[in-house]
Formats: sequence, structure tokens, C-alpha cells
Amino acid sequence: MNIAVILKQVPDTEANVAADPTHPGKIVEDTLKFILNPYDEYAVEEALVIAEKSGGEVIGVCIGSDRAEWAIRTAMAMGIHRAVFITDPEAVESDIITQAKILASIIKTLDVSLILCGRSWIDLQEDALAPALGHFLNIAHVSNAGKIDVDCLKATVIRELDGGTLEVRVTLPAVISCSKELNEPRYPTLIAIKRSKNKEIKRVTLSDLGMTPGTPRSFVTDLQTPSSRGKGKIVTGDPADMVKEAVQWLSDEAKII
Amino acid sequence: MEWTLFHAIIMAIAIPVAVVLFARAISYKVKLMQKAAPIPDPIADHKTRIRDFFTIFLGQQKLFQERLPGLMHAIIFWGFCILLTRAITLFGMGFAGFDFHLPFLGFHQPLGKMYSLVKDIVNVLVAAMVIYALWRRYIKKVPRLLNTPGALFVLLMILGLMISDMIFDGTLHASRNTAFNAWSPVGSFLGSIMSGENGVLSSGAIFLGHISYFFHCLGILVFLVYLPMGKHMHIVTSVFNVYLRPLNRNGRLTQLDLEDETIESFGVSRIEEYSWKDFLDLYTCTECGRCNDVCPAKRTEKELAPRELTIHQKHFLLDDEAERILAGDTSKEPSKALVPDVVKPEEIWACTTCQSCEQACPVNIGYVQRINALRRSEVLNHSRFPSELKRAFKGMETNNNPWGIGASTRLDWAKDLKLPVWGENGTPEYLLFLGCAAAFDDRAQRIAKALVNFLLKRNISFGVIGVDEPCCGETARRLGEEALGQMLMETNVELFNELGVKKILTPCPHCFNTFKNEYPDFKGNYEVIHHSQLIAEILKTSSTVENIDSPMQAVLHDSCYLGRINGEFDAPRTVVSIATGREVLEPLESREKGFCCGAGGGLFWLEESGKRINHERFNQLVQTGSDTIVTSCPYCLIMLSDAAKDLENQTVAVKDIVELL
Repeated sequence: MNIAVILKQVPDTEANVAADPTHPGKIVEDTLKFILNPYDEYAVEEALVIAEKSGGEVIGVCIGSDRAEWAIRTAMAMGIHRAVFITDPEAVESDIITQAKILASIIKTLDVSLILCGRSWIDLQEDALAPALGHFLNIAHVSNAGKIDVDCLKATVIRELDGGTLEVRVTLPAVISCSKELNEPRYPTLIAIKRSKNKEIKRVTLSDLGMTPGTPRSFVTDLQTPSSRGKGKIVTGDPADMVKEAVQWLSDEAKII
Repeated sequence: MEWTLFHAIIMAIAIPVAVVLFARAISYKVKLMQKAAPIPDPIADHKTRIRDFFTIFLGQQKLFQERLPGLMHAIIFWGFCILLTRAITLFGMGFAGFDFHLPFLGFHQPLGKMYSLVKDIVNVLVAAMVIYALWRRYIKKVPRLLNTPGALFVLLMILGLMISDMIFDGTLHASRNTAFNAWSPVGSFLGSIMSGENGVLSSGAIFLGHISYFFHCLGILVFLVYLPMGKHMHIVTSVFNVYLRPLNRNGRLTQLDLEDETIESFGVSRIEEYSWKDFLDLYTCTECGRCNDVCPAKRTEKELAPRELTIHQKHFLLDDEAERILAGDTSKEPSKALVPDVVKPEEIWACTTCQSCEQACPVNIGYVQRINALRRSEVLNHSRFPSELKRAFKGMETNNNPWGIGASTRLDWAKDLKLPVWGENGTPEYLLFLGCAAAFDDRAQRIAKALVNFLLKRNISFGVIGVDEPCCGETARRLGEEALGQMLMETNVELFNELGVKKILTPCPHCFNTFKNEYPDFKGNYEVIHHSQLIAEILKTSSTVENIDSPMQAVLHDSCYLGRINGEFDAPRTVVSIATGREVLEPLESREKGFCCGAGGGLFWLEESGKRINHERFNQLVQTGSDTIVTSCPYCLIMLSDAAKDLENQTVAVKDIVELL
């Protein structure tokens, strides 16, 4: 069974993201470290485990600027077999629904029975990919999988909900988004890293796909980073005095009570 | 007591049989060594090796790290050397009659008289030492000793050889009617007892004499044949093991070739991927357990015990794998996997790479590299390692530090300081490389601050790289992630060379060690200075005495990578004694024998189970009655500060040397 995994490159979780003063809605990229979207790693690992069991290929599909090739290579080092990569600025700049439409048209050209993606893109906190892909491919989708069992052309998925789980059975092909409860993504061996360098990344363009995505339905107009928190106030002394001082401060200066 | 042809016939049969059996056993082991991997360095610097031969081999230097047992072994060893001449004489007697002697060593010749006296003394001393050894094993029951049948056999055999020589010598004296002779005190004394009042030997005594002669000569031959079979192989191999030890490999791991596309396996996953010198190490281990006694892992009841690791590998090599290796059939799979069947993963991930085992081993057996080779295989070939390491690896890869904290915050600790950045004001003298711990750990950041303030106050010309300062790569390499380690090292070398760095100053002994000993392998040649060295130099030549701190009683904890591995013991002591105005207290284990804090070898990043190494060390340091533990390594500082917290000790402070100023 062939499996498609959607890959996205995002700034490192520890990166110090700053708004670009000259380009509203953009971030300063020069000094940023980029990584494969952490939730995508769970999708890659799960795809590899399923493919190892059932046979078949795992194919990465990625929209991103040239630097996103590094994210594809990361997934290749983990074990995915090949990838399709689209770098048209129009595609890269568009919103998640439009991107889902582009991804769907690529997936249609692949012979896959399962599409896995991360439950969320951590950069803009977008969770809409799986339902949108399901819509454009006209197949079932399941979000936030904590466990996936594939049997022939059916999958049983345990969805992670707040305070509980939900068991869902779907007929394949289907789109499933993956959460961190699913597995422990592998750390690539050196041989796997070496071999990944020769794996095929097929670059396609929007015109290859015969698509004109048009104006995105939504676009980012501004980006603000939270202002840094001020210093806390520490009161010392006798507990009774401390309470008095704290209450006074809260009412007089902070004007909270 | 007369020589007969019978003596000659027995010897003529026994000697060739024993020599052939011995030679076959040795050649088997040599052939096995020929199938092993080559050693990384050519065998050069014979001057140092000859010095080692005299000090470590002949001088038994490392055995004297334990005084009495060391003396015991040395007397047996030196006795063995001296009695070689006697053994040759006795074998000669078998063919040429009991009057045979080596040139100049006849009993009536001056040299012969002296030798006879020395031999008698040695016989008695060796016998006494064997009795002491037996007492240590079976009455005192020294814990580190393994009381195997082989050990008992060898000791009894030596005792038997000494006694039989004395009895034979006694009967020979008696049969020649020699009275007590000061040149042969033991022989002539025993002879006079055995011959009784009439001065004639009884037939029983003569028989005993012959028995003793045969016991002695055949005993030596039995011993010769037995040697290659058991742990006493060291009698043959230790001289080679001492002479051939890898030089300039302290704190310097071998460099894996990662570029060669034909290599598909890294580190050691099959035992024959070890070098022939590693095989020789395995042959040479005498199972004395000195390594176990000093190993922080063993001492805190972890799975790892260096001696057992060696014994298991030796038996696996000789008992299970030798035939396959000698057959040279590479397609045949090993009978067991080196990891996890022969060596458990818990063993290889418990080594702090502190090298105290190597310091303790009397015959220079290597452990750290042997364990690291297994880590390399586990990480690079199989991606098998404790799960908590993934975060550290990813942190180093993405954010240049094992904490995984954003690289852009590397200098956040210095917000209030005027930190000179490299290249902003010309080229400074020193590159101040603070290392990841001092940049990202709250406690260790205070070292960075204190050091920067000291340097600024003293007008030292220095600069830091800034937020782009990479990780030195030491941790990754020690954890077997050679690819990541090499990537970081190569990035650094390129950066340092671009910046024109000549001297690197660092407060971290791990950075210090890797820059000093490992970077030259990656074309990075710098003068590397640990902050204790620079500060000691400055304080020694300083006319103004540093503000002497409160009357603290400081005890110094030696960092393994500064002390034992790089031999720098004095600089931190100089700083402490000048800064406190007092003598530095020494814990039970200090300097070369310093006990590890538990963080080395990347173990800082692993969960520790059971007894804690840092608690052990902390308690040992506190036992000196000190109120301040002084360290010279940020990791030691963190580990010992944590120990103080865990053990709820609020009376003892833990400080880095620079924090005393």
C-alpha cells in the first residue's frame, strides 16, 4: 500500500520569531532555524511503520520555498522513498485551503491509499489541512489520530479528544492527521541519511498541474509578537504585612482589585 | 643424590611437548589478532614506549597505586625474573648432571655465590608473598578479587615451585656434605636438617629431592602450557600490552571515516571490528578488578563493571567467535549480537568516560574507546539509544546546544555585561568559548559572568563569538553520535579559522579537551587554555593580592577531563589557595584518582537509576570537613550543586574557581 505524507517546513519551536518591519505579515527569516513540522514527524513515522508492514512506498508531498528541501531530506533520512515538491511562490504564499487544493491535485497523480499529515502546522497554528484535503479529494478524513490500525482497505483510528478518545473506522483511501500520542519518531541512522541523499525529489509547478490557484480567500495582513512581561513584584517580611502590602499594590498600582 | 639418564629422558620429552603446546596456543591467538581491525595510529615514539617498559612493566609503577598488594605483585614478578636464570640452570641439570651451572654462576665462583644468596632470599620472599596473596583472597576476602579455581591453582603452583626448589637445593647440598654456608642459607640449612646428625641423607630424603626436582621442572612446563588458557596469559602479553599502548589517545577518540561511501557499518558491531590491540587487551586482562574499584558506574551499582565487560568480551571472542573469525567467512553471522547479547545496552550507556579504569589498570588496558565504539554502532547503525538522548541530539543539531534552547538566546545571560564580541575591536588575543553549559544553565551562567568580569577587570584581550557560537561537539561524540559530532567540529574549525583564532580560553574542561586533543584531527590547531590556567598565571604574577574571601575551608573536586585526562591538577589548586589564603583540602580520591561527578561521557543527558554518582562524590567531598566545594567544570558544578540540593545540605557551598575571586 502506497502512502502519501504531507510535509511542511516551519521555524524551530525554540526559534525567536520576529515580525518583519518592512513586510507586514511576514517574519524575519535570515537568522531563523527551520525544521520539519514536528507533527509531520509522527505522520512520517506512522507511514513508514504501516508501509514496512504492508509493503509499498511512502511519498512525501511538500509545498515550500527552496529551503524546504531540507525538511524533505529529513523525512527521507527517516525513510520515505521519494517526494514531490512544489515551490511556486504563488503556492507557497497562499492560504491553507488553497494549499490543500494544490496538494490534492498532486495526490491525485499518485497511486496512494492513505494520506497522512500532522495534526497541526505549528507556525501559524493551522489545523485545517486534513478536512480540506478530504474535501478536495472527496474522501473521508480523521483528525488527531492517537492510534492507527490498517487492515486491507479499512483503517481503525483512535482519535485523541480532550479528556477521552473516540474510535473511528474509515474505508481507504482516507486522510488522517497525526498527533504525538501515535508513536516515537525514529532518529535516522547514518546509513539512512547517506542513502537519503540520492532519493528522488520531483519538482512540479502549478502549470504542470494545470492549476491557477487564484487569489487566496484569506491572507495575513499583520503580525504582532507579544510584548515581554514586566518584572514581577516580590513582597517580603511578616506574612500579615506581606498580605497587606500585596493587596494595597494590587488595588492602588495594578488596579486589579 | 645422583643424576641419572632418567632425568635427561624425562626432560627431553617434557620440554618439547610443553613448548609445542605453548607455541600452538600462542600462535592461535596471534592468528586471531591478525583477523582484527588495524590500530588507528602507527607505533611510533619508542622513547616513551621504552620508558613505559621500564616504569610500568619492569618498575610495576601502576601496581604501586595500592601499596601492599603492589609490593606483593612486584616481589613475585621481580622474583620471577631473577629465578628465570635458576630455571634455566635446573633444566640444564636435567641433561648435564647436577653439577651443571651457567657460565660464571658456579657455586664456587664469586658471581655464583651472590646469585645463590639472592635466589635463596627470593625463594623465601616469593613464597611469603604467595601466602600473603592467599590470605588476601581466602581469609581477608578482598571484595574485588575473583576467587576462581585458576587463581588458586596459580598461587599454589608458585608456592609449590618455590618450596620444591628449596627442598631440591637442600638435598643437593646434603648429598655433597656441605655444611651451613652463608651464600646458600636456605639450601645448606635445609640440607643440614635433612641429613640429620650423621650427615648422611636417608633414601627417603633422596627420593624427596628427586620428586622436588621433577615437580619444579615439570611444574614450570605445566605452568607454561596453562598460561595461554587462563587469565595468567598476562605473564606473556603484558609486556606487549604496555609497550604497544596507544599514545596521545588520552581524551582523543578515533576519527571515523564518514565520507567513504563504501562503508556501511560504523563503530563496532562485530567483535572482529575491534583492533588487534583491543584483542590483546582482552587477552591481557588478569581479572584483578582494580578497574571495578574505581569505576563510578560500578561503585553506584550500575550494570557496567569494566572487568566483567572485558571478561565477557574475551570469552565471547575466544569461546564463541574465534572459529568463525579464523575461517574468514564474512557471510556467516555471529553466534550472538555483541550488543545486546554480550554487552547489555545498560552497560555501554553507564560509562562516564572518566578514564579512571584506564588509570587504575596495571597493564594499560583501554576501556573508553572500546565502549565508545559500541555506542557508535548503536547510534549510527541501529539508532538505538536511551530515548532522552534524542532531545539532546536534536538540540545540538538545530540549536547548537544539547539543552535545545533557542540558539538566539545564547548570550541572554550577558545582557547586563559589556561583552566584547570577536572582531568588533580588531582581533583579540583570546577567543572566550564559554560552552553550552555556561550559556544555558542558570547555575553555570554564574561562571560565565564571574569569568567575564574577571577578564574585564584584568584588561585581558578577549572576544566571544556571540549567538552563533556552536557546540564544541564533545557531547555528541562521547555519546556515539559521531556524524553530528564531526559536523559540529568541522563547522567550528571553519569558523575559527575564518575568524583567525589562535588561542581559545574556556571554562569547560570538555570543550578544553576536545579543542586541545581532538580538533587537530579536523585541521583545527589552537592553543587551548582552561580558565584555571590563565587565572593561576595571573594570580601568581599579580602584585595585588586578590580580595581574600571569608575564611572558607575549600575542598577541590578534580574534573576528570582537566585532571586525569589532561594532567592539569595544579592550576585550580593554585587559584583556590591564593583566593582563600589557605591550603586546599583534598578528598579521599583526588588528582589522578579523582572520582567523577557523573556527568561525563554525555551522561549528564541521561536519567540515572539507583544510587547517584554525584551523591557519592558529594559525600566524599563533605567528609573532609570543608564548607565549600570548588570545581573547575560547569558540569561538575551543576552535578554537585544538585547533590547538595538532593541531600538537603545547606551548609556546604559549591562554587567554580572563578567564583572565589
